[in-house]
Amino acid sequence: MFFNEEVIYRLWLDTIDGIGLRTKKYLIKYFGSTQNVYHAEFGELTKVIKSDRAEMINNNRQLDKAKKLAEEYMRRNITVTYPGHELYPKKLKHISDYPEILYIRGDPGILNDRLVGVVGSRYPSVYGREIAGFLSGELAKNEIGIISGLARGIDAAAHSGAICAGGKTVAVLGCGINVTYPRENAELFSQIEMSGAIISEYGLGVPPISGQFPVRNRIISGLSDGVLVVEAKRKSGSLITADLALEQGKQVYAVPGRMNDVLSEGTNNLIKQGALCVTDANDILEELFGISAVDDETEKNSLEMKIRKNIESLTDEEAQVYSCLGLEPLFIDDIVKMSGIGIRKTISILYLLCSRGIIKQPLKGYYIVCI
Amino acid sequence: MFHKVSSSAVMGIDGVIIHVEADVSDGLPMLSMVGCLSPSVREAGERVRTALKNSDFFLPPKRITVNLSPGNLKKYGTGFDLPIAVAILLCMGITPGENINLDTTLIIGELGLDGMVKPVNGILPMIYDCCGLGYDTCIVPAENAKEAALVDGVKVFGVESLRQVIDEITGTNSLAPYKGCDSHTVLETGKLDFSEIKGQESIRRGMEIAAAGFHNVLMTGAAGAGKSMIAKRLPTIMPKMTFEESVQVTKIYSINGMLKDGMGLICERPFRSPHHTITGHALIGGGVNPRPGEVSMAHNGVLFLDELPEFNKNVLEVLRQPVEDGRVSLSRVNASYVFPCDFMLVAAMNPCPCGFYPDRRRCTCTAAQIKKYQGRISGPLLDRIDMYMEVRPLKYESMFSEEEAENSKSIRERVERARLIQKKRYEGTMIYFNSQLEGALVRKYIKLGPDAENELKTHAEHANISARGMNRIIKLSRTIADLDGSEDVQKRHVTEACFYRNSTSRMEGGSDYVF
Repeated sequence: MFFNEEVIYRLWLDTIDGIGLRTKKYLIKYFGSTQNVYHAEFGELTKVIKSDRAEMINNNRQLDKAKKLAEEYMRRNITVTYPGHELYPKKLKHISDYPEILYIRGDPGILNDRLVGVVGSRYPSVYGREIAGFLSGELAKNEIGIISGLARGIDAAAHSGAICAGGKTVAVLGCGINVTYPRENAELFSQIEMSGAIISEYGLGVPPISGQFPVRNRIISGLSDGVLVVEAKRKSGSLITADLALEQGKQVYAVPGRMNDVLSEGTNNLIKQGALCVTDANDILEELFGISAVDDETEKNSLEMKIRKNIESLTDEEAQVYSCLGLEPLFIDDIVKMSGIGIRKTISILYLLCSRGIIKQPLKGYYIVCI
Repeated sequence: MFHKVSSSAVMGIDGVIIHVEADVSDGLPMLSMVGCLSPSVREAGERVRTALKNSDFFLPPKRITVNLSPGNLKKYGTGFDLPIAVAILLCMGITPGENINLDTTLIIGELGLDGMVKPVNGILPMIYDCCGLGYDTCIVPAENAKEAALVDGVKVFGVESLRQVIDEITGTNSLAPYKGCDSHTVLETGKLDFSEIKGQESIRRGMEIAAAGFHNVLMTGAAGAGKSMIAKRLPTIMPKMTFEESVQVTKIYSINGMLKDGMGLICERPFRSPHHTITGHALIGGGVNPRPGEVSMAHNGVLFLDELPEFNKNVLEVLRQPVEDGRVSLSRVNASYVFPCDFMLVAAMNPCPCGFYPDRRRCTCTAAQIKKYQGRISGPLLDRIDMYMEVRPLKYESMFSEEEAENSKSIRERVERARLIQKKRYEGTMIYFNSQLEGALVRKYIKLGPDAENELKTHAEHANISARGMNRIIKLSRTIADLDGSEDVQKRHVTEACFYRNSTSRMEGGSDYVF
């Protein structure tokens, strides 16, 4: 991978502290390219931007640092793109405040594919988490990429749901392109890099600062064909993504929650305001992409299908235990009581079903079905 | 004039013979004592001299030399006062009567300045270990007589004053030997019973298995879930101690001076629950003259560590060897000591610093905090635990339900049966319980059926467990099969064992769950 001249100048502009996205946009629009900005007279600069900022640029006119950085990005196999560059995602050009520089790890081509944004609470319920993973997986199986923000909770569940289903996924970071935040997603980070792409408008080593995260949401919605909100509280950050998607003319989907559920207040409000209510991946596939995965109406709910199919493969006693479980975590003692086949049989069956991957423990001692 | 009597001292937890020699000869009047003595023994000279005077014995103005042999053993304690006094008096011309043979008599006791005999610690190990060496009589402080009488075949004289001892020896006023009574001491467990634990089926079953095979247990649960309550009731379902086990326990309690007046043999399994501020030395034993620590006090019983993550990390790490080996070895300049500590480790912890996780309505801890809290317990220590159990606070309806849960007595019957099977299996070895099998012995004694073997193999591949973890599952399966009365270990036993030794992390990616 070779970087052209313009990349070096973009990197140069990116390293000057205090020059915001809006300033950059003015400059590049006025001068045509960053190269021209670099060579522009001080007087010329002050015509476009405030003199203190022009001074910053004036004092920083050297490319050594940018050249070194370019080598570093090349060494780390990170693609640096900018609007107009061949690898810059085309969809991003359609949003008003598209990033002037974009760092990409993994496969840049996937950014032009069909993508659905899946976002939601960083502290979801077990149910929300499982549903996010399930829907993402179902979409990914139909070759729809999943894009999200690699945050805790729903974001992480969406990414790993897509990966587990063998699909592709894109993570948009709110921090530097080499920064894994939050740390517990480190493994996911490398998996995404292999099976999709990680992108950020922040360069090497930019720390995770809270203000940057809502800003990156515009990239998530900008690259998506539609945005699915799984679980969101009344004032959740995911609603920002939904709003941005609407502004950008994208369809917004929401998973409904119970009416007194605090965690789903945001999604329920979205539905009230006209977001499409999603109870199955097919809802999105059909509406957005015109893919009709199943012909039979009775088989429309793939979640129910899956559980029904699972029960058929079990012995009577196993089914007795399995049917106690759902997506709400159930404690071992309650399962014993409900199954009615005694503690010893129940725990043996729970262990066996766990090792067969039919049920799982989201927390030790609590069980849910695998979907 | 030279004379010698026999006494005893405690080394580690064993009694050893100490010969007390005295010689009275011409020279400057003085009392000199030799024989690798600690200060507490050296002070005996002053006590003996005054006690003799106050017992109306006249100490002649001669040079008196006292030697405690063997000379290479460091001697501690106050039990030598009485034998020193007797040896000196023998040198001064007291002649033993017909009714006592001083060559086969042990004399132990501390003297007050008034000539009264005071009790000492560690009488049981002294008498128990020395009676096999040809000693058949002992003269001990009256308060210790009951303890000494626990040893079969030893004539025990409980004495109150130096005068009484001399009268006994000379035969002028013979004492009646102390007759041991059968009263056996039950350590305070009060009126605890397992029937008070309601609804928590998985933990009730788990504790039954743990008690039957002496398996280590870790309970995790929110504050107020009943972890301590369960642990305290554990001794009530554990099998009764055999006589040898009781003696071992009583010896340790004797050395630590915890056998109070009138306490005989300890028959109930000990339950020790040290506070989490305990130091390493207090836990495993220590001191210049090492004394057994909490782990040894819990020998053959339960060591309950409540709030496990609150313990000092270093303290927890010193637990590793005792848990694995069932004994503590301490080395000092003059000797090495081995204390037995075959205890059942029962640990309890909260899932997070505030204690309410995973109830997210009440728990306010961040994911990082929870991870850090649970990470305080090291992998190697966790690996030595056989069973992990989750405890959840009871719901109101179960708490006050009329339904009567099974009581300790009937659980214990099943446990005793399993115990009997184990006893038969390990006859002629030092092994009492399945959990004590080590290394190659595991496979030697435990045969798995083909189905069970397969299941174990799948689990090993699935859960990626260590060799030690594997052995622990096999031992646990054996205990479950024993409870079942089953000859060989079958698949259902292995699956149940796998359930309780579930190596899934409590946090598995789910630190951010809400309930």
